[in-house]
Amino acid sequence: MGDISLGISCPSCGGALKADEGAKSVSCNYCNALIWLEGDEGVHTIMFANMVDRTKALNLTHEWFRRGLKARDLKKAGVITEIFPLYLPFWRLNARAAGWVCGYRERQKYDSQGRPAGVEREYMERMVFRDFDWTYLACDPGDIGVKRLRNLYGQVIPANVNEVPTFEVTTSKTDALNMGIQNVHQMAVQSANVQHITFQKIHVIPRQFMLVYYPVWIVRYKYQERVYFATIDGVLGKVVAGRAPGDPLYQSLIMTGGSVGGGLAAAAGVYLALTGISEELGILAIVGGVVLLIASYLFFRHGSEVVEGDIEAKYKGFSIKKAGEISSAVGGLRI
Amino acid sequence: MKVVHIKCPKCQNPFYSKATDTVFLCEHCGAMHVREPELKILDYEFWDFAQAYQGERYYMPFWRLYTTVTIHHMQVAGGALVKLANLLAGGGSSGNIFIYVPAIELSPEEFKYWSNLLTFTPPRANVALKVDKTVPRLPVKIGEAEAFKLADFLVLTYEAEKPGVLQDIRYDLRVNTAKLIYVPVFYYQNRYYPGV
Repeated sequence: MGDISLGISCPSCGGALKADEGAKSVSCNYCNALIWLEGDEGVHTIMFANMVDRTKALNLTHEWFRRGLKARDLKKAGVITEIFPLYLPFWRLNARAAGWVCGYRERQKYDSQGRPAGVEREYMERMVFRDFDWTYLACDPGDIGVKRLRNLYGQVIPANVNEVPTFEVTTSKTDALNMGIQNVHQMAVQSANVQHITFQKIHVIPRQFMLVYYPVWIVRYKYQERVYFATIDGVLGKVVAGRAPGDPLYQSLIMTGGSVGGGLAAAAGVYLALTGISEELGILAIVGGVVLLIASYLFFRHGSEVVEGDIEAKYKGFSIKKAGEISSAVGGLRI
Repeated sequence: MKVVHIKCPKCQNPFYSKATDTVFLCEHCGAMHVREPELKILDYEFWDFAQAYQGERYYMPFWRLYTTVTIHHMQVAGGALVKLANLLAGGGSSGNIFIYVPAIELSPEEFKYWSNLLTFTPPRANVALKVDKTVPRLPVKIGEAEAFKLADFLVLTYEAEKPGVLQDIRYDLRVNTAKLIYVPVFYYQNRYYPGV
């Protein structure tokens, strides 16, 4: 966050003025005159040093090929066609949220024999008073699997945006700030964890709003004539996103295992429920079995491609939330 | 970009300083002003150091907001409706209170500590007739508009932190006057301590 030369002179002594970008007042280094900067206030911009070189980026990609449920021969058959560093601009808002969220949550009550005995309300008043960080990609680089920053720290270097390969910022400062404030408000309300909200009032006070130029390496590679990619974090030195071919063997194994496991769990659930050993446990086992079955099917159906990062994976679409919806529909259970 | 040598809007005295701040105190006529969101002369006062303590001496800025709070409706689960009313003069549903909002960047814990300390147990401080210019002022980071929001949050906090579980409240908070108060503090082992 070093000073930048503003290209303007002190109106008092004529000396060159330097200031942090986005600063409104500055003291002249020569005569100590306090100067007010009016008009185009700019955007506070920082840039992190790229700590990964080409060799390290290649090594990281090959290590990544071996991890997870990717095609087993990817390390041998994957051919890297392109590898280059890039700086991605991100908007970053650090804001303090101050407010209260009030309401209640409902819990199922049970009698001494474990039978449902109505719903109990637990009243809640939760204070939110903490800082939140929101980041979002400020450009449109296409499909690289990164939309927000996972890391906010690194070695800061002078932000010479014109001297590094980067993308043009496509969202305005005002729009980004408004979007950031809305998101922080939403995060603050969610952090209170109140199920049924009866009252909420949260003030969002921006503390720092800046543009962060973050280094990444983009790796494109081919596998069986199809093109995939990996995105490497240039500060942390790890692959943060990518698309890779899946493996039919893993797909089949998971489908088989999921079917067997799901079927057994569901059967056990039916047995428990019908014999009266534990109706609750029975329903839980049936729901668990169905969830396992659906999840394994989705992986089988869409697992020909493994994705990581901010990419919507079809087999990941079956979330805990959806499982909760199914369970509610089946047995009135809350997950 | 337009560059302006900052001058006092009252006496036109030009400012020279190595330290930057968002409020500007004229050493010639004593007027303090802000330039954002608009040029405005501020009401302010400095308090005297009243006790000796270890550490460096500073003036810490607070917004002292003289407010009127009116509660229209309140719903509390599991408690009596006694809360904010206790704070208000006369114990009714409307009254006036001074709320102190720290004007510097503080951690949430420190923010609550200082605002509670000065709002609920305001010290018997003497207004400094002559400001000690050797004591640095901590720069103001929280503007007046932000202070109003934080005061609103503090009012809710006073209410919610009393017995019972707040479920709903409708109220008005009107800020009648705002004054920047420079409270003497000591900085010792990474903490500020009141010097009054």
